[in-house]
Amino acid sequence: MKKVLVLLASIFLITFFAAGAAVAQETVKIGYCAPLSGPSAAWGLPGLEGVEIWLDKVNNDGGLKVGNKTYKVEIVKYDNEGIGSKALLGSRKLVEEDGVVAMLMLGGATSAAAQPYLTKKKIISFVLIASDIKKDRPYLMDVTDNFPTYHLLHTEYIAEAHPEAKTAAIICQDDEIGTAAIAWSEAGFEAAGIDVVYSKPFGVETTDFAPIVTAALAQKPAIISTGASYPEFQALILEQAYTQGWKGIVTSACWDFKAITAKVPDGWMDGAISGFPDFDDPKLTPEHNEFWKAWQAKFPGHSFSEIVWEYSAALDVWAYGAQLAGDVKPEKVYKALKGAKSVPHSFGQAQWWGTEVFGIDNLLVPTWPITEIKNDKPHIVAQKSLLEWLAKPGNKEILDKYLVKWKMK
Amino acid sequence: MEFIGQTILNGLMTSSFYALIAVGLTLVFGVMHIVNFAHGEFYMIGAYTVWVLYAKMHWPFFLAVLAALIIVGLLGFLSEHLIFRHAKGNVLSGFIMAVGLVFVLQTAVVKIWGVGKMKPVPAAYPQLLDFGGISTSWQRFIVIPVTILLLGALWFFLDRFRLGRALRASALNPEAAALQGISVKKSASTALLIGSALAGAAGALMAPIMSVHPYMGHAVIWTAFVVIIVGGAGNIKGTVLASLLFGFLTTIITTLLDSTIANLVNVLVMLVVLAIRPQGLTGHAEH
Amino acid sequence: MQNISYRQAFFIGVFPIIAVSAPFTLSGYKVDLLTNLLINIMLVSSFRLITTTGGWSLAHIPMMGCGAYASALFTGALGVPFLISLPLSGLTAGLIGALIGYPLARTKGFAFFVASFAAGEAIRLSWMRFKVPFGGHSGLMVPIPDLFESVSWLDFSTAVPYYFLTLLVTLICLAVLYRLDRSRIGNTLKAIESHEDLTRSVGINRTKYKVIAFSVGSFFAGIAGVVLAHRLWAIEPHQFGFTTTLYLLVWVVFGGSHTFSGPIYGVVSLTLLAEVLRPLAEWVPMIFGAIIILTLIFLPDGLESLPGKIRPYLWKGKERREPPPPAEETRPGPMAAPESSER
Repeated sequence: MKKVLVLLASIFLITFFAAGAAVAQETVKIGYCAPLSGPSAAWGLPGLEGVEIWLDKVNNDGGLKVGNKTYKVEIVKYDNEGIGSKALLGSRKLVEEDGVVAMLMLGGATSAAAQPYLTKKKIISFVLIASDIKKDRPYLMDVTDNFPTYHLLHTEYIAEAHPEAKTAAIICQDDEIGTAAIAWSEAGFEAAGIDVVYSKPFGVETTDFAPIVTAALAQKPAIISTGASYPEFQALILEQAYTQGWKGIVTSACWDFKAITAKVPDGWMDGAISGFPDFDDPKLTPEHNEFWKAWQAKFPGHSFSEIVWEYSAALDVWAYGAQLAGDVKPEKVYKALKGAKSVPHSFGQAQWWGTEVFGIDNLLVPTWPITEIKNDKPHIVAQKSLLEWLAKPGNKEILDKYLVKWKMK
Repeated sequence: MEFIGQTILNGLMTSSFYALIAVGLTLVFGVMHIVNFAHGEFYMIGAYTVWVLYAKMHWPFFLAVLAALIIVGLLGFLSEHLIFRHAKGNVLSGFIMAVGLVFVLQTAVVKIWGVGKMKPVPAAYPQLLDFGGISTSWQRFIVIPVTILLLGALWFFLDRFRLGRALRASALNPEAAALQGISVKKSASTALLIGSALAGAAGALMAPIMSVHPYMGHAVIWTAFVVIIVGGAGNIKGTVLASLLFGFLTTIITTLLDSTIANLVNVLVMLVVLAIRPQGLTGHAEH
Repeated sequence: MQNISYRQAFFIGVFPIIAVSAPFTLSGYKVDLLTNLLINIMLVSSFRLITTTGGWSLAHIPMMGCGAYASALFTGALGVPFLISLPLSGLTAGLIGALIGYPLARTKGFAFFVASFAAGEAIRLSWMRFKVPFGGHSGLMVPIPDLFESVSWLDFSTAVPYYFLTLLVTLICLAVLYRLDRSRIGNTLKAIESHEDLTRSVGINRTKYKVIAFSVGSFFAGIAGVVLAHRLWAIEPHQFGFTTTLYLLVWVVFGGSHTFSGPIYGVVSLTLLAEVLRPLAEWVPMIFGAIIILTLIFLPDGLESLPGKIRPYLWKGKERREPPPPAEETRPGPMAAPESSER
């Protein structure tokens, strides 16, 4: 009788503890400090959609297994409205009140304001803007978007596919992101033998783009690059280009396609060159197509852009690093990631690069797809590699020249 | 030549836009001695009205603009009754009350329609308009005739209608007007109704052209202030002249330099005018 | 010696205890909120000084920005130590205040209002436009204060030591402002607004005193800006924009500006309210907007006038008929309908 009781008691206790261990799953929090409102909201808000899909997948699978623990991952968001001081306040709150182990950010001036603080606290910041990478910010890395380096590749493709286009205008706002787009685009155009006839940055508070586009069109460009103007601005600029009677080749990095097509006629954007396919593109992998299906199911009717998947792709890299390190502590994840020779990126295996240009190699560089719009949808038409571009004779010097001109080096 | 022509066209369109907004503001100041700082938010609500009725519910564009005019006008009327009436002619009180109204309206719009990406309003008249090389869209161009129409109607009202003349009397001399049996309170409500309606119309016309978001009023309110100060607060003719001046000044400077410098120049012009001739270009001396 | 009133007892006894012990019981984030509150207290008190001469300056926040930018440049580009940069930047703000205060002093009422906005905005637009030296849109980085570097536990990059630094600076500034208010100069300043004709006939140089008030007010706004900048480690033009000014106006109107402590009541109560309402953070601007409208309609002289209005109801019985003892000195403030037309 006693033996039975002891047995029952043991079974009961074991079950209790096992259940307790499963229930007492630890939570790891990651901060999402990005513009969720304002002119750059299109670079922050859609990212939450992709992140939600990522969280669904990971948490429904039972959580993220790191080392011998399983974590439920939670994202804490903060709207910095695209303003530096707010980004700093948000970072402080996310780190001190919420205890996040990593930050997902857009980059640019907003992340710049928060960097001294985040570096001090040794929190990894994943940004979408490579030109933010600097030697005194070792914990800031760009593991998804290759802005602004892919402007070099877009411009090279345009020269190959449209050799008759010999002049280009670059219309971007006057801030860190805009200046970076202009510098790298100018370098790319020159290396491709195209003349840049207009590259004046416009003020961020501009509401009326008519005079600006008038000034640009006066130089008769065959190509217009809206580089990395805020998505709202791109729509208004291209609308002006259309209404002022221009027709030519459009190129840009991160547009909000639906916002643009609301302002210009159907088919006007055909032929536009960019670097972001829709994830149902047949030239991508099954994982991409799966993500697309899940996104379409959860957010029908929404506008797809690279922003939707880039933040969650950073989460993929973070998870990879955490699992490699066997720990979620920021410094351990950082060491593991930087120590890896190649890291899986959304577009394939990628290398760490950037020391000659940024001072530290915190940019993950894969081969990048080039897309062209056909029937108001992007299609992959080529693949290009930044490392190959840099290896071509004379290109490095041209890039350096423009980085110095725009005070980025 | 095309460049100059295009710039002149841009300047005219900007001037019309400024005039539509500033005249409403100056009318209110003239009659009530209140600076309605929430004027920018009335403009914003006009734009949202068009977004809801035209972009989402597919009403005809001009019907949506008319609706915006009426709705915002009523909003102005209500504001006068509930809020501005209590300022009793004190400029500072009126201003702070308007500040409170700004917060209330902005938050209301944010809660109802969200903040985040701006609301895209498709162009109602995207067809291009071409004057021998100078091109724009009908959508942008109609600001000019509509502004002329509305301001003309206002002039007619102030000149020929009893209520309009009562408004002018209250603006010139409230005590004398009251002695004549004119209800100063009624004039105040009417002024705010008309002034707000004009702001709503401006927002409605601009919705397909500019970005629609809850804080869009902020960008226009201070330019409106600059215009009415330089033109003479309370003086409609002066305000229209100042609108032309600043419309062209801003357009030219933005085309040749950039918009931050254009704002800077506008602000400095206002400072100089205030220091040298506080009543503005054509205003009467402050009593 | 006067009997100490309950209010004075609070300030002498209870308040310091709370002020000193609170930071150790709260999280770093909340300590930062307290630091911000102290900075805002300096802001409203210095603003009030300017209002005593009748001017409601919309340039006050840009003056705060002048102090912040000055310190960023002094400690950053020029390597000046923090302890020197603090008063120096304040002086810079004060000087700029004097420069723009002179033409502003010649305007009145609504014109002053708008002119002060224009002057402040012109300064702010210059920060936005000129990357050199102001950093343009992205602003400037601000170094951590280099104080007591040898003392390892005094790390001014952390919240608690910085809070105490701010507390010290705030108390000194408030003491100076209070003494000024009660002094002869303070009385002259107040007379300029309330007794226009009298001051003129006595031969007081109104312009000179208006400029003094503007300049001193700007000096303290600049100090507040320096303290803010060295906590945030980065400043940019948007921080000193009109939204901040709107909140400043709401605090001062809500609290009242006739008494020295009125604005302080305003900023403290509204800041506490905003914290309490944090779960409803999106509604806060609307609540503030409604509060300020209701205040202007029902309590135009602000919170500070509340005790004066309630007191008659606290008297019992027949004593209710007697007029209540006069509260603090009252003077018709900007909220009252103007007798001499200030339009």
